[in-house]
Amino acid sequence: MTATAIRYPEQASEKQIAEILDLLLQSPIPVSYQEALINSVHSIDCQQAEAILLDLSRLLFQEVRYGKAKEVWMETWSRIADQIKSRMDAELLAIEREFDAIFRLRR
Amino acid sequence: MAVAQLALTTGGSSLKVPTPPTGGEIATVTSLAALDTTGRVVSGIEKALDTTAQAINYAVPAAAHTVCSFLPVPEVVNSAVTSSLGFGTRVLTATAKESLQGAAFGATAWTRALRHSVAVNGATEDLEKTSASKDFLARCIAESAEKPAVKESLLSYLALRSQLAELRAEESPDRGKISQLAQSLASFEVKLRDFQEFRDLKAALEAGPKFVEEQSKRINSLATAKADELIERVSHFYQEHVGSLAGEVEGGWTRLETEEERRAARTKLRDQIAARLLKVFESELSSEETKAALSKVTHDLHEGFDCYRSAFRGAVGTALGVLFVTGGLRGALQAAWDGASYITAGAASWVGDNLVSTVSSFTGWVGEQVTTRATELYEWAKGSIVHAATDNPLTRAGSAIVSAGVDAATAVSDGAQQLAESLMPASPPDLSHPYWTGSSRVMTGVDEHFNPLFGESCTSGFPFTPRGETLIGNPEGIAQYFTTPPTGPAHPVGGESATDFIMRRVTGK
Repeated sequence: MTATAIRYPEQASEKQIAEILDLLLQSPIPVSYQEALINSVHSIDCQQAEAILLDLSRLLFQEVRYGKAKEVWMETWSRIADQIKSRMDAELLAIEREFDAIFRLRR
Repeated sequence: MAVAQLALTTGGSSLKVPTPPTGGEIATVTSLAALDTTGRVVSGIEKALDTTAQAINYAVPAAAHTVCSFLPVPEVVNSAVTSSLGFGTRVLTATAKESLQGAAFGATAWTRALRHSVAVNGATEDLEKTSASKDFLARCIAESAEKPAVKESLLSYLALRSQLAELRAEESPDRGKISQLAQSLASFEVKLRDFQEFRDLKAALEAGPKFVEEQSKRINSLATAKADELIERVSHFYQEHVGSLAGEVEGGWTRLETEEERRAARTKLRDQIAARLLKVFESELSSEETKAALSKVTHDLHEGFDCYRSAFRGAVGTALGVLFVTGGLRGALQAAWDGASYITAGAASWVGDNLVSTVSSFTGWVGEQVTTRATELYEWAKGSIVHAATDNPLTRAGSAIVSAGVDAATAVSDGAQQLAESLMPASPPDLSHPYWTGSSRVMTGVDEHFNPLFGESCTSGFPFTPRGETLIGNPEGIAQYFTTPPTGPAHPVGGESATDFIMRRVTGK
């Protein structure tokens, strides 16, 4: 029987860990998880680091995308509000004309 | 989830779920006291379940937060507005018509011409008065649900929230009843959370009322101001140009006997003009063009949120897997334990009760209460972890995470007592312990009984374990930490490294 050497993945690089922390601290991940990951980040390997980096990047991307959707949504509401104001001004003018017509008729 | 399954009960609770109120009751149901207590409950829930760091850190253990996911940020103001306006109008129009038309003064032609819009004005006015009530608006959302089963469930959920508010308003609330209510509420939270109507409801509870209130006030204020302006202008115009004929406006009032009557008449005229303007507002809001515009952006908003939530769950799923294989899962569970202990020790809030039930289902520490939601949790945890990993192109790492994560989820859900024995200490953890909280001391290895040994930072080559708070928001600290290289390889004790020790303790292998 020959001994088989077990090959372990390399530890995560300093660059990877720095990126993980950077993204992690910006993320909405619960703080308790953040702290647990920070406390464990020294022992993860490079593949695990890549996996979590990918997910954190995706999370932040989607957060930004969602934020933009919210902005567009609010802008749409603002535009609708402006339209309504414009229509109300027109209605106000129409009411005034009705007053005018009524008084002229009675005159 | 089948809609039929939504006819939820209180899960055997002895508390009576109140009968959902009718539309007529809704119009008169709110009071300032109710608003206040409802506001406190809602505020507490939203605060604690929100993704803000402080709330989660202190009130929401990580595990519970994962189970609950996180609540959507405000995303349905359009629904809130249209539902509340539409529903409010439907509910209140009849009453408003009768009362306001009956009180309409005079019989001039233009008064009659404007009268039809009075009902809308009355309804909107009433809506404005009550839109400060989260309870009212939430009921509008619930009542406007198309599917009867969803509507019934939403109303039952709101009824439970009202019951809870009443209980909490008592000086010495019955903890048992609150706990029972919390269990029932948690059941609704879990079973309704995938329904858009429920998300609308939660968003309305958070931000909808404020939005509607602001918009209603803005529009009402605008309409009233313009009506005043118009009356002023018309009176002035006819006094100058038509002389006595202006009396149709002013003269009609001067025929009234008292100043009070004249003031009331003027106010009614103003309100009628304002009502017509408000009708324009409502028709514009419900126009096809507006609906189309709102439909698109709201669809984009919901889709964005869904992707965001999916990404969040994926990241947390990966985090669980990574924490498991690195031994950090235990620390996360300790936080959950700490939260559960704190809550059970005396936290008197609904949030506390809700979370302890959720935490219990995650960990199985509270025995009988665990079974149902532990299964749900397991399915969710497994799904999210599998999703996180299978969606990951790094298949090897993904597979490892799936394996570890699913194993962890299995252990969590299948073995309630075993979990407590294998993963957790018999008593709440001492978080002042240097390894778990992080300090200048680190775990250097294990003794002959496989208990961890601790030493000064880096003396063994085992990396320094930083305190979280020294790094969060402290870029210099992070830089300093990562620019300090480890001094050497991990130091095995008794032929076993610290990492292997942790893995063995966690897996039992």
